[in-house]
Amino acid sequence: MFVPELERLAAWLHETAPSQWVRAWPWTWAICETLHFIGLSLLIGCIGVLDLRLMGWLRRIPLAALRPLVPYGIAGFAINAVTGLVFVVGTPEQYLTNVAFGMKLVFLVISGLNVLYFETRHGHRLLTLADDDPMPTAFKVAGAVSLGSWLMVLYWGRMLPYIGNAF
Amino acid sequence: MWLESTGIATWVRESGSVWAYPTVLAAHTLGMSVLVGANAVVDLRLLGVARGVPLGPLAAIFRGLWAGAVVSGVSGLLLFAADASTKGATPVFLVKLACIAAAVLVARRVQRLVRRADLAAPDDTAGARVLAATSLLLWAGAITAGRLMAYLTPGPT
Repeated sequence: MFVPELERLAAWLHETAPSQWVRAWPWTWAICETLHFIGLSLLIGCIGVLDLRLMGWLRRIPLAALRPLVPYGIAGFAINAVTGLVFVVGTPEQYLTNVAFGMKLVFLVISGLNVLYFETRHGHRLLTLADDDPMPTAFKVAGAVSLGSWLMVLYWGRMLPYIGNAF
Repeated sequence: MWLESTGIATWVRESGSVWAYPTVLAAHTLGMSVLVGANAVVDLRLLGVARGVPLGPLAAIFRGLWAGAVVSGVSGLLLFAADASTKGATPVFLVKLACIAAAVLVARRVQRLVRRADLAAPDDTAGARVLAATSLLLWAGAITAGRLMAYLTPGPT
């Protein structure tokens, strides 16, 4: 689907100045990869513990008490968005037509839509929920979808060189 | 090296199946994310983030933490077996192992500390903060050394 167009886009992006900057210093890649792994750990940890709580586990921890961890999860995501962009800009031909990269984006979108839907539709219920109330089904589903989709983002990212064509 | 010529090491290295090297590597990364992520949550709490989280109940997170450790440990052993002579001769791999060994010892101390703490205990002592900061640094070190193995290893990675 759109493979010739994406190949043309990748070829064009490859010649742009930012793309050349990424490739100019070999250690850029290694440093960004390291940051990408640190960012994903932060994201999976801080968001994952909240997801487990939403799914009804760790019930003795008040849900609201976990909120201050969210900015750290978002920081992990921000690190990975920036370093991920560096990878794509640096060697777009490895990603734009890569099936695994497509799957990774699909699960990123699922994760994003899930959090948007949950925050707008059910976010206010977080404030009225008592600590020992059972978790509403919508909360359990949102937690499971979030955790599952982030782990799939990680999985497809790791599969980039093997199912797709990145190194 | 004998380890490299075992059946499972040969399969991981040479089968070419997506279920061999790629899946073992994915398990290694997924396990790492749970292990380091859970550590990060506990460490951040000890450093003063999310103070409203009671330490006693947080001890349950160590079940996930050690499950992640087993997954990344077993898959790591397979990845090592597939390429033992090269990895064994890579200094940065030894740095990674040293960081992990130290980080696991610190995690066990943190676990004891978290278990002991009751709801009202003054848990944010200087000692707890030092442990938490050490833990974060060691895991960041292990990740950095692990990534650098792809760049500082002789031959194919």
